Amino acid sequence: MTRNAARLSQAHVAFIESGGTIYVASRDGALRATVAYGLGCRVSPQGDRVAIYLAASCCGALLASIRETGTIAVCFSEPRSHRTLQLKGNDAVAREPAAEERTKLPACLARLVQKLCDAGVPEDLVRAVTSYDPADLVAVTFSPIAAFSQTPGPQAGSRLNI
Amino acid sequence: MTALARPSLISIDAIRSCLEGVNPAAIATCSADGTPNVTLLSQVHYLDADHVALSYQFFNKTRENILANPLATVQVIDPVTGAVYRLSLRYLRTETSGALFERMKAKLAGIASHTGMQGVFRLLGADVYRILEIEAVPSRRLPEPVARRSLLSAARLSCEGLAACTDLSQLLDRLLSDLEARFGIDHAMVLMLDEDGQRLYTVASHGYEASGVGSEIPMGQGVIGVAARECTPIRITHMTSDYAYNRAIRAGIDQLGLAGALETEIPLPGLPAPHSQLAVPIMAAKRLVGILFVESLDDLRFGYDDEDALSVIATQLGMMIQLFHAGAAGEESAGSATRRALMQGAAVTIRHYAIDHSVFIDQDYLIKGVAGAIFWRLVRDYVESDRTDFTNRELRLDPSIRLPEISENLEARLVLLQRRLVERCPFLRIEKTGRGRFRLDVRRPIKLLEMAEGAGR
Repeated sequence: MTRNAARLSQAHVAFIESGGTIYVASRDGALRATVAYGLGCRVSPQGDRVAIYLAASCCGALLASIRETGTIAVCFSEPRSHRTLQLKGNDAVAREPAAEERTKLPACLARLVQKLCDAGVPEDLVRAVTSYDPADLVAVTFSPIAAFSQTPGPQAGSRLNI
Repeated sequence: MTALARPSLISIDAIRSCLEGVNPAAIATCSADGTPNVTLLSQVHYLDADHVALSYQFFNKTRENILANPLATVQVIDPVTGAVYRLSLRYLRTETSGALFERMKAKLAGIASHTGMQGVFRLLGADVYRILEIEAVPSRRLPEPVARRSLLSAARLSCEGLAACTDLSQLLDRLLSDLEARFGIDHAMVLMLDEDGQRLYTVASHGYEASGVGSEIPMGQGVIGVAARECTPIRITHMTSDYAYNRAIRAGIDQLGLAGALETEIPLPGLPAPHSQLAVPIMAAKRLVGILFVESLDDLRFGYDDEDALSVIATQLGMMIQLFHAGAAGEESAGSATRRALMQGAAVTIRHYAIDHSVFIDQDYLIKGVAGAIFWRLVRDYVESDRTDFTNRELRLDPSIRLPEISENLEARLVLLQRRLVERCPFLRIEKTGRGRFRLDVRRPIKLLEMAEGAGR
């Protein structure tokens, strides 16, 4: 894995921000990985920093691992097409979301709700899973240093140009 | 995370509804150099109280990681309540054949079709993991819906009903009516393993236009054949063409036309496009006796609990079948009374082909194999010496029928023959007259025609 932070291409940014499902992983000092789902994401205008928003009470172990090691892997998946992209980084930090980020999250979540409903997941279930307490919200940001395709098939896992 | 060493407080048995593959799970692993990886996972399969198996479909980073570092975390979601659980796991081994592999392969076929991934999802292995801990992730949950029925109560009452049956025919009828009344299962059939262990034949069914009694399916074919070969339940939760058992073959035979040849195939009953299918082996003293098969037009009709309930019933069935077989030693042996019933109508010709014991009533196929041999023996005795009353025992000892000593099949073959006669030949009936005794009731004059070995149809 290259250590140089990169700028994500516009196509990757568009896909990441399109409102698919988001799963975030990190690992602790004993190489134990953990996972939690993200509620939304945002890429910096320069394309070099990605922010993922999560409900802190749902991901204690993840936040602890991020604090301990800074490692992160995030997969973004489009529920209907199964198109999936994974980003990795090693400088992840958790912080309070800015007021502007809080304002924009509902629109991001609405896209996720729509996509899951389009894929046949019952709406009440989607709304239950995506509900959160604003006071519980946490942002995890990182600089992507590698990207991989994870769309199911023999090409899954192949490295992509950022 | 010292909790990894502690036994889990939440049992995997209690959250099996999360493991039906309705929503994808996510798995996080870590490479030897400390890079985490996260990906979606189509199938987390319940194996037992301490283990799950994950579908291995592609050699990807997850696979590479768990071979180097066996610790993984999987997040699953209840498709009804939205409850989320995190499973801490340790990879143990990969199975590439056998019961677990076949169960996951069949289920994956349904999941793949449902998610538009048919032809993409292909099971390479079943990765078995030990469950280290299960964590309930705090989340808003929807209320649990009220269950339509208690499967445990239905299983108990059905077992009690089956235990009260005194012969196989009664047992099968009771089973199928209980499946409908107590479990709401509208489409079901029971197949028995034939003498050489190569095929299963339908001995009873419920909910189909034609009963299909006497139809056969080879070992290893489709949901039923695979369940029989592996002696394990096979369950599919969505419609898939991968396991469309033998209708395609059947259509091919029909298209060939086979001019001049008389049909000796009975169509297998079954829904043309089942969304849920479950085949449960019926075992007796560790030997496969047959398969209980149920299906539905609804997705996700049969879950882990249904599989457990029907497995309990299949165990009871197996015990009863074994009991009837063991009790056969006490069958009454007398019985050569004759009785000519009132004859009506023109004579029919019954032809018997020695090569496969197939029997035709005029031009219509009736039965073949062991049941055909039994039938031929009965009608021959009837024509030659006016006999109408017979015993199971004499059939068991008859070298021309060639029943293996250990087989429970005589009863099943008699039930099959009896039911085929009801459907195809109403003027010939087999009626039970006592324990291990029955009567051949003939209502039309019959003529017998023996076709020698080598005689073509």
